[in-house]
Amino acid sequence: MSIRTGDAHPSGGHDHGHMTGLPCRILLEGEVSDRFEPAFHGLSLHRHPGCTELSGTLADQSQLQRLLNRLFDLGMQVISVRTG
Amino acid sequence: MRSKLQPPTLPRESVPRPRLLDELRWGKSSALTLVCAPPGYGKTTLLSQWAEADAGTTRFAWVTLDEGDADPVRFWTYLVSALATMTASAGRRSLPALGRHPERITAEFLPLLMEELEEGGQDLVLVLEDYHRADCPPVTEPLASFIERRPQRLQVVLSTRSDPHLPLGRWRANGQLTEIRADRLQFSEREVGEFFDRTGIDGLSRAELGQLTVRTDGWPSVLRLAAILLRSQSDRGEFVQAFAGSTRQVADYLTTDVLQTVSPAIRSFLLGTSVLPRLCGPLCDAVTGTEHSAATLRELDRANLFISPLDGDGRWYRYHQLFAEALRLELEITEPHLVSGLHTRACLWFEREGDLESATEHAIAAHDTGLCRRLILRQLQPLVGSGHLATIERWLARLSWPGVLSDPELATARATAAGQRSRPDEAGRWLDVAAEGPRDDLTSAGVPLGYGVDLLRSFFLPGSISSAHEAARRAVAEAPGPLWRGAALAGLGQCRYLLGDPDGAAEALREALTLIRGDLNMLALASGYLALVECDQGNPRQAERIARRAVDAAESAESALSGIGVMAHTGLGAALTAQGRLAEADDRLGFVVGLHKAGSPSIWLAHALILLADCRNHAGGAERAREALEEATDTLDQIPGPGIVPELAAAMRGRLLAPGRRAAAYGQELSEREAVVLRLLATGLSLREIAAQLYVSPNTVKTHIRATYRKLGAGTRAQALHRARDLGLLPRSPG
Repeated sequence: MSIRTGDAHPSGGHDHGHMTGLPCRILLEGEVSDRFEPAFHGLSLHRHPGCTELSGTLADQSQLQRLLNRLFDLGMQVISVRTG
Repeated sequence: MRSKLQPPTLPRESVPRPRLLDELRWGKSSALTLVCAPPGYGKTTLLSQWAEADAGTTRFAWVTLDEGDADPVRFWTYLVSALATMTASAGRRSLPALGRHPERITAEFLPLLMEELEEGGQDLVLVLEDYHRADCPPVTEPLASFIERRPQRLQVVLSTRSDPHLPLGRWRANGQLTEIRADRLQFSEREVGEFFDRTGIDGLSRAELGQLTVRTDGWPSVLRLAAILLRSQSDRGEFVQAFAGSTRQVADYLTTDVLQTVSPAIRSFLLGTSVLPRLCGPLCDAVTGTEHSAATLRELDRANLFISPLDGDGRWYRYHQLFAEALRLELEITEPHLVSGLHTRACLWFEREGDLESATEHAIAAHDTGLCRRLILRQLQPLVGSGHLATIERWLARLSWPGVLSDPELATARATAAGQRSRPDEAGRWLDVAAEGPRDDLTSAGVPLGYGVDLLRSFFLPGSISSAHEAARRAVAEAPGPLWRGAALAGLGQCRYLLGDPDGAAEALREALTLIRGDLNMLALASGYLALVECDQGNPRQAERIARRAVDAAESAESALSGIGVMAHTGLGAALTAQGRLAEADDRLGFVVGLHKAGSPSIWLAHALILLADCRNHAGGAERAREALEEATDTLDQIPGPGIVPELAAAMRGRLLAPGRRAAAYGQELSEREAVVLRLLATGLSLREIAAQLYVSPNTVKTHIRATYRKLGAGTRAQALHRARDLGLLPRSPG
């Protein structure tokens, strides 16, 4: 096993999915400032009147879960989430 | 920490909510009272108001849960400690049972806790605050059972951001659930007015209050935000218009407008301390590198900005949840390079204070491999010994940044966690990682890395027994002191026993037992195998004494035996069988089998199953004995180099009566060859052994087995045999 180069996870099931990724689109209520873009795991931010769209590719479901938790903790209202 | 077990101090400006308090009181007749809403809806404030209002008539046991509490042992320890402040008997017998059998909470611990709570008659409310942080199946399943069996006088209240994984649907349908959700927690227009009065902002018109209520949906944290901003406005009317008309996010207001109202020094204090779940003066001094943080905290509290006190003596505070998240976000956006250093300083402060678990959380957040290594390895043995394996596993799972996965010493910690869960294959993969490190490097325990890897191989047996034996011999030769020699000899004893050298094993194990100090799992490993040797040599009473001493030592230390330590129970089970105490033996061995089955196929599991088969055969349960033996053989088929254990299985098979030879009725179903293979399967032979008996290759046997399984509609050996017995293809009972 070559760990030094690949940094593989011997317990398995911990693939960060650099190859595949999870295309994802999240619609938030209200208009979110551009300043917050760096906090959204690389998703890009587009404002529409009364709502904000985050779109792009996340690593996997668990990153999506972390992001949704964070939006929730920040008091942002999620209108819809679409993946794939 | 004391502040975990008391209600937070009530904020001065809190608006009284008598109707909600009544609803909470009515919850007494329900199984569960649930307060569920997003952050900033005043869940904590409401519950604190209740605790203060009813302090004269009702006693409140309070637990504020943290990220690390999704560990069943921690969770129940806090819960019992909170109850013990009200009911003196709580925990006297149940807490030791929790330490001994962390995997049997519902069966062992809960009945004792229930008994303890029967004593004492006063009404009691148990509040579990921020339950979403502990919500995971190992915590929730026993909690559901606790809630359903609780004594009448106890009311259980959960505050949480999201629905817990409890049987809410069933309770709701039975009228057993009292729920207060965001829609009930929202302030009405009248309450909004009262809030601003109490915050010291007066003179808002009815219309303005109405606009603010609609704009904020009565969300208390957002009103707090509006209050902070209003204080610095010259024209309040204009501000209310703009605020009410805006679609900007709360977080946006917090990170820009609100932060502009404070001085640069306070701003940098707020951002720097936002990484802390709880704040106190000395901690904030250490993290921000400033002085007088305690005064700053008092100042912020007095100004109703951002924080509220956790205790009455003004030592510990916490941020309002929404504010903390917004501050952390602002820190990440504007000064991301500071985050790691802040966590590192928090880590070092907690380490100095002796709170190693909090220190570890910050070390992980800092992504500091060196600190994580030092802290985790220092706590590994104590936490494993006290049944907190789940905490270790949670930490290790979060160590995933580049480089940390290949850290040799942390890999030994991961191997230990896997091995203690009876997952030798996974332990082996991590030991391969650890073995890539320089053999002679000293670990934080002060032993050469190579010695440590060899020792763990001899404990957890990831590959063949003979390769583990080689590792054990190296470890004995290189042991850097008597304690370490004792450990290595315990591993060597295990390997020798499993290679069929009982005398050599006994010699190593006897010396090991004179050297091992303190580590109860290691003591139990050596005692377990020595007990097996004594059994084999016809001294079951001596065997029982040896094994029981190790089991008792663990019990009196309220320590859980896991992984290698389970061997003491195995040895005790065998000693009980040999003395004809078969019910006790069946119990004990069944317990061992259950623990090992939760992991991956291991030599420990196969061996325990053979001993269980022996016990059941003595008790006249040939059918159940055969089942255990079949399972043992299935397990042995899946592990490399199983040493002498297949021979133990074969000997066991010889002791079971041979199955009958009725061969009819199935001709049209199974071919003659398949029928023969089926009969051989029933004797418990492994695939390799069947192939040898029939003079064919294992692959040919595999083909016959597959065809047989298919015709019988079975997926496993046990299913096939069961089905064959149902069909009369095999005798139902021996003879």
